[in-house]
Amino acid sequence: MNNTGHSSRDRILQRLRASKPPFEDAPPRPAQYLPVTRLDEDADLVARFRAEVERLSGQVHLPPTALDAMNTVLGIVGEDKAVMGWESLPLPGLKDVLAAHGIQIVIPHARGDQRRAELQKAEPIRVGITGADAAFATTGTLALITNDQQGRLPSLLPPVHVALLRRDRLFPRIEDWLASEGRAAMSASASIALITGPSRTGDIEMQTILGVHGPGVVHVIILP
Amino acid sequence: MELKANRFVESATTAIRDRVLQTALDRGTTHALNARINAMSEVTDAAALRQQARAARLRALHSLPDLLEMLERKLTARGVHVLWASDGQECNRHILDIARRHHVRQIAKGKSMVTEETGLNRLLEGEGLDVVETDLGEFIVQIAHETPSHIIMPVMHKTREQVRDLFARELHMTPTDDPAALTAAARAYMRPRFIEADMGIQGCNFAIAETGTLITVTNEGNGRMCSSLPRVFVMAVGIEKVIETLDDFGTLLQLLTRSATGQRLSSYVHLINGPARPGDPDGPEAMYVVLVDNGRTSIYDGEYPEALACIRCGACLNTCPVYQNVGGHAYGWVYAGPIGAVVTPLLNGIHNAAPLPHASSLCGACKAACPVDINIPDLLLRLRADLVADGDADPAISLGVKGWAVAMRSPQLYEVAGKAASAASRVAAGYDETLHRLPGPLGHWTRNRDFPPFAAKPFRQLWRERKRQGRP
Repeated sequence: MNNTGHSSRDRILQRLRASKPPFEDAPPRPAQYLPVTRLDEDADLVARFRAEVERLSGQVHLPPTALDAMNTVLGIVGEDKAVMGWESLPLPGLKDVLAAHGIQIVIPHARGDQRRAELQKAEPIRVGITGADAAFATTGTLALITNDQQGRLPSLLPPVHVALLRRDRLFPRIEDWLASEGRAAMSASASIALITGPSRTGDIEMQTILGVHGPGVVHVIILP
Repeated sequence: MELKANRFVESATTAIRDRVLQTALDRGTTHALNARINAMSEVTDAAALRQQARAARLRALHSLPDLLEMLERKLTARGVHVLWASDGQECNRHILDIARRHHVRQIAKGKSMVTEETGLNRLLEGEGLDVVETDLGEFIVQIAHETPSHIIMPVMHKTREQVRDLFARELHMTPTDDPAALTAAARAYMRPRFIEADMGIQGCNFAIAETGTLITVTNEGNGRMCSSLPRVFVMAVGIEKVIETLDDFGTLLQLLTRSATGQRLSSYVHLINGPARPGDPDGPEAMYVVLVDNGRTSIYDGEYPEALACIRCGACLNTCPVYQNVGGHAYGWVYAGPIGAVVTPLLNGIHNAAPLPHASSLCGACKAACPVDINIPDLLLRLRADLVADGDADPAISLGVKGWAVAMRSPQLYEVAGKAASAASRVAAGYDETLHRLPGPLGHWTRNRDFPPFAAKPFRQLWRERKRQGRP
């Protein structure tokens, strides 16, 4: 970037290479990593995922049909006239149903000169609706990948987050997803959020308070 | 940040007498300690996982320069500007330059220990920039004009009542000690500041070289706000943060959150691979990474590179009997507790933090709690030896050790001296069977600690009696 930056770069790298590197005897990368969380061979992933999300005060819905899934969304949206959302959602027809109920889907384009105005416009919206690109059963985690159809804001700004999850995107553990899809995801997207339950803090005397800056309410709708 | 580590004894003495602080520390450390123990008791195999995590850190440190270059290459290819800083001043200057180049006025800052080291906020504020700390704990510390006392829980030293009074004064809030209401007030204060911020600054938990991914781990969502809303995003990254692969990340991440707060995962783990891509509907237009040395290379080629394996979970603080009693501020710098007692002397020069290696009973609780099994008691002991070899020894202890050495060479002298000391100690010990003050030069020892009286029957006598009775 500038001269100072470059000379510091050289100085740091040279110093790190000046003497024999430490930890020559560090064990090699294991062929098989031991996973962190316990999970029975025949475990029901949906049940485990649900238990984990609920333990964190999140809610999991298992609507039997697509229509029920839409009604679940409508129930959460309630009387609101606008929701924030992704351009593409994994529940075909949802946008039409919302429109039919007079509910507008706002997709903020907070880039360039319109950034601040778009953020201000989006700020009062109560519910954000997104898909989920993956989920991890043993931790109750959602993985949301940013791309041109899937923004960062709908899972971040509104106090209520509704995530639509396809059942076949549920992995047993985070390790499974990292190993099978992590590398592709990292090159495909600038920003991937792994979301485990609602926003929380324990900074004041370790007492848990939900909904500090991110959503304090998280609904996961597992699609039929 | 100003270094006050050489005032440890004085600060610790004040801390021990501070009843409010003692209440806060009791509440905080007990909770955190239990949370970690519960979380680590339910994993597949805690001992094996710690070794898996340790191996990942040691491998990364072994190839550190290569991994840093790989990380730089990957990030640069995605349009991230990578800058290097030899020291804190250079780090701060880089960030100030970035702010000026992008005509920044308002900054939203997420948690970053590196910029605590470099004292970034003071510089930026001095240059007329508006900086708001957005992590609740860091925000409390900022408006109280204090420094964080814990890596994970910055205001572990504060009670809710103190936060009530602070918010009433600084935010003109109706006094309440309900943490939910206090948190809501902080949220309301910060909301417009997030939206108006031109630049976000944040620290980094892990940097994955293989994929060029920077990780932030937060619970409140302030970190995602800082890295998603403002048009410019800057990350300050200590050069030791690099790890090799996504698989290593999987292990380290989960041991970090379980050890830090007892969570299976924190609410938000953000994997950042660069600024917003052209079609993205949101995200930063420009992204900078400042790779900060600030003393780390000297640890790397010194005697104690293991100190760089630390993943900053804070578990050793919560479990340490010294930290539990004196809190974080007594350590006099950014990093407190057992790992702080190692890192502070190493980053600042051992004679600038001479009391810290002694601020430990060497009980080993820190090593047992460490998710990457850093042998902290061993590092502390070796640092003490360095101090002594360098002429920084407590004269009373040197005298005591010399006396001990003489007595140990003569069984008769040892027995006589032992009996005399034993009898005297039992006479001198008061109603609480503890010696609060030893006589003469030995008084140095009891200036900051108590001394237990000797047992009525010494070991040698017990041994003789057992032999007489024919017991092994």
